Formats: sequence, structure tokens, C-alpha cells
Amino acid sequence: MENIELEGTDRTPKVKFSADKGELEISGRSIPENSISFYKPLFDWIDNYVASPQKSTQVAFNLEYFNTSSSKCILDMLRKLELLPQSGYLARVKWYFDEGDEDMEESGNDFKSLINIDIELVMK
Amino acid sequence: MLNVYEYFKKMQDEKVILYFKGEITNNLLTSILQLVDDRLERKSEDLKIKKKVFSILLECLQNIYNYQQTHEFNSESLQSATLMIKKTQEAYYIITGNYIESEIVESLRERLIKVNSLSTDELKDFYKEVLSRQRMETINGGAGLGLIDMARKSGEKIDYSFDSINDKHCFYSLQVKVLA
Repeated sequence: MENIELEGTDRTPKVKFSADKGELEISGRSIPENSISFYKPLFDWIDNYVASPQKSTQVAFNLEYFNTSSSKCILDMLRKLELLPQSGYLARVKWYFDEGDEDMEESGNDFKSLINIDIELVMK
Repeated sequence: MLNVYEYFKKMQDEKVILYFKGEITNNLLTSILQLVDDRLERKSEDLKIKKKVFSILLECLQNIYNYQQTHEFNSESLQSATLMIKKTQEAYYIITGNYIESEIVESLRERLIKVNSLSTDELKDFYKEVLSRQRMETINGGAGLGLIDMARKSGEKIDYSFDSINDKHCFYSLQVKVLA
């Protein structure tokens, strides 16, 4: 399957999904008004990926800002990735936050408590 | 001629650092966010406070923008909104005002009362509850999570008022505080 590589903009994050490496990374700003139209292709990609994943998958969220419209999309992405450990694959999520950015750290904890996947909070 | 100095002085006295009135368009949203981002950068604000101000402002403006996208006001003047940022010794204030249909006032007021009644931990639980049950189709244009998120980031009560304009419309004012 094809990889996804998107450059970041002032409203949308940089995306790097690599199926052959089993690496998914989202970084920068995710603040579009219409987050679904941005995230829909990413959801489709993840659906395909979890159908035939690598043994081990590394996911990284390295966001500066995200709006509430994106938070639902992030949750749904994580829910799709939850299928990996459920089917016996290894999946690790890293949630990065800047030192002192309590809100971003708190958001990581929110997702962690809602999702049955290994989410590690990493201070930059 | 309009007394510009009077306007200027009033804003100065009120500690207004940014004032805007007009229609919130998509391009304008980008410009305002860029402007505020730069300004907070220059003032080398504490990262935490800067991010709070930026995020709250973003939610406020996107709420107004999304509301206006889904509600066709038949008069152009009703599309006009206002934004103000005040900075005192104590705090930043993100203040917005826009027209809404009177029929949504009660449900909006209820949401504001609820959000203001919750403690930090309760807000966190409420946020997670709304986030989990929210359906994809409703996430754009619904202020469902927006107010809860603002209240969490602010850590203070949200101030608001509704001024009745006519039997169909109200002017909705919102003030969110971020302690400096």
C-alpha cells in the first residue's frame, strides 16, 4: 500500500504514514474548521493498514495545537489503531508535549484514559 | 470628524491590545491567528499562557465562523462580529460578540451554566464524556466541546451575556479569562 506524506500548513499537520516501516507520525498544527475532510483519507489509510499491519507499529503525535474539531478525529484514529493490540500486534503511541505545556500533557492523558493502547507521554 | 483619540484612549484605558469588528471570514481567521501568534511571540509570554490564549481565541473564532456558515442571516449587518483581547497585569481576556438567533439562547445559556458549575475534575470528565459520545457528523459547527475546552484551559468561570436585539436575534457576548 502507498505511504502518505503531507506537508504541514498553518491549519493542518504534517503527516507521514509509512506502511512498510509501520510508522505513523502527525506533527504541527491541527486546527482546520472542517477536520473531517482533512482526516477522512487518513482514516481510510489506517483501515487498510490495520488489515495487514507490520508486527510492530510506532505512532507519534507531536502537535503544537489542535482544535476541538480535531480531537474527535484523533480519538477515532486511536480507536482504529486499538485493533492492532487486540489482534496481537505490537503498537506503541508516543504523545509529545513541550515542557510546561500542561494542557497538551493533559490531552495526552485524556486519550490515554479513553483508549486501550499503550500511550506514552513524552516531554520534549 | 470622529474623535479618534477618544476611541484610542478608551481602548488604551481598557487595556485593549487587539480590537476587530466585521465579518469573520476564513482568510481573516488565518490573519488574526497569525497576528496574535506573532504578538504573543514577541512579548515572549510564558509558553503555557501563550498556548492557552491562542487555543481559546481559536475556539471562539471557529465557533462564530461555523455558526455563521450554518445560519443564513438575511441581513449582512448580522454577520458582523467583534473580537477584543485585553491584557491587564493580572490576566488576558478573550472577548467576542456576535449575533445569534434568539431561539438558541436558552440551550446555550444552559450549557454555559453547566460548564461554569463544574470543578476542574468534573470538567475533565465531562470533556471526555462528550468527546467519546460525539458523532462525526455533528463535530463541525456544534459548540459541544468548544465551551468545555475553553473552560478547562481558562480555569476560570466564563462570563457571558445576551442582549436582545429584536424578537428573532440576540447579541451574544463571551469573555474568557487566562491568568497571566
